[in-house]
Amino acid sequence: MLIINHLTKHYKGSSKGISDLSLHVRPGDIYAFIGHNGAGKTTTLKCIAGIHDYETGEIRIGGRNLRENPLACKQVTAYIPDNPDLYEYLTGIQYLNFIADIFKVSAEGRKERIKKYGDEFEITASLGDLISSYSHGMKQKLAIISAMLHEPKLLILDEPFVGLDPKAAVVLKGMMRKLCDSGGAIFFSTHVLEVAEKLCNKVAMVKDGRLIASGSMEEVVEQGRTLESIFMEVVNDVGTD
Amino acid sequence: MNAFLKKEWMEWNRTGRSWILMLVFVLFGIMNPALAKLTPWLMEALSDSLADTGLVTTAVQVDAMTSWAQFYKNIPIGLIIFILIVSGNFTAEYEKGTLIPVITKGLSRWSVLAAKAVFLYGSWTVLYAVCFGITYGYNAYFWDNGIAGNLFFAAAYTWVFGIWTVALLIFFSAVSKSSSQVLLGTGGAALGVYLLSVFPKLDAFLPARLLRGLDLLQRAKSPGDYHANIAAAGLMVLLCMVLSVGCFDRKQL
Ligand SMILES: Nc1ncnc2c1ncn2[C@@H]1O[C@H](COP(=O)(O)OP(=O)(O)O)[C@@H](O)[C@H]1O
Ligand SMILES: [Mg+2]
Repeated sequence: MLIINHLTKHYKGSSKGISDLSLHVRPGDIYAFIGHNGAGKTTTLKCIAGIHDYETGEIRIGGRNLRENPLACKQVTAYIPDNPDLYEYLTGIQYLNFIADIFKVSAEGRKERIKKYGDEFEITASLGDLISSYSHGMKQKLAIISAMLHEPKLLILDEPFVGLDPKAAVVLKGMMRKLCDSGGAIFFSTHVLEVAEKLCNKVAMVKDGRLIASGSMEEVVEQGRTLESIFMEVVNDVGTD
Repeated sequence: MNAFLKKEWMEWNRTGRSWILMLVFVLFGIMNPALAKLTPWLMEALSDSLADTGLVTTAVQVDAMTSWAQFYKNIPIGLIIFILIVSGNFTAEYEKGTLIPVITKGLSRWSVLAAKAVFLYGSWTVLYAVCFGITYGYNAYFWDNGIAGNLFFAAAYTWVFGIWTVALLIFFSAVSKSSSQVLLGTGGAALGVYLLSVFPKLDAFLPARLLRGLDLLQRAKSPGDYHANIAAAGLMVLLCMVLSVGCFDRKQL
């Protein structure tokens, strides 16, 4: 579903970025992407979402090369940034209709999904209000709904659980599972290691822009240990080299 | 692209910018003939006190020309207000990051730029037409527009000048990070062209000359005298658009 080969991207005029990162996310995977602050998680996700260009390497989504076929790749992908920046002067429902227009979602399809996800996240009643009046969590919910409108196959999430109330977090986890059960795939960054350990079947760890461990959760987390202890060990280890 | 245009329109209304601009251009439209109409009355009211100071006023003759002179004096101010208000149209989206969800959802950058360009050119055209229409209507009612020569050529040329300024604005919006940079760039370029126009040889080509509609109305110039200016403005608009597309494509959002 998502293949990253030797991806390298550095910000202009700085040595920060990511180097030689390779990953493979298969259909049905819930893949966690963990690392310290500034490790390069957001940078990687933005490359996949097509916001950042990259120097070398290759990103393939659904078998298509992102560089050669950006629109086709974006049609099957949904990306939710860490802090959703939405149009403050539109109402929630106007924003959802705007996004649905871009994806050319049919009238029935959008009505049905807006109702379904709006009810699940309990924000149907607020959809008529201006986005400027929303809390961070409500904006996050709206961004998630807007991402699900066109039934994406690949979901790219940056710190999706930050700012969500516990109930909404449960709803989101349920949505993520459902998407994967129906053959979709999810790649997301998180700081919440317990959630990653329970929810995901795959995990990748990144430090200072380099991948230091990746694979199935069982491979990375040995018997009788926790993801947290592995993470601390690996991060400290590489740091003292 | 249509979806994006619709969004621009909704935002435009919600922030009240559409109403403010419409009000300004309607007011200018009314003010031009009103000022002309009031001039003799004002002079009369003042004539007594003026006579005391030894000044003798002669009856002033006002007609449609007086009103059109006001129009060409005021429209650059209208254009400046328009530019001030729309200068943040792109950069506000960069600063807030609102284009990111749109771009990642598969709307091409080219469509975003095209929608914004259509919207800005369209707004200027509508506002300009409203202002012109109102002045034209009042002038026809009070006096006779027939006194002014080349009326529509003069109007169209000044409109082209506005389009040229908006093209500059779009270009600087595609390369700048903040609205103050956009204003500085657009204002600087327009001012530079204006200053260069003091040289008659350059004036024959530069768009600034298109603003002097009064020369046409007074038949001091004929529409054909402006071909070079129109061609140059057209070329610059085209160049601005091509450069904008290229820069916007590479822009880090
Ligand atoms: N636009 C930018 N320009 C320059 N450096 C950046 C930019 N964005 C992020 N960085 C740097 O790149 C590194 C990786 O950042 P990021 O991918 O956001 O980390 P995180 O893993 O916390 O999401 C950091 O050191 C950050 O300072
Ligand atoms: Mg981050």
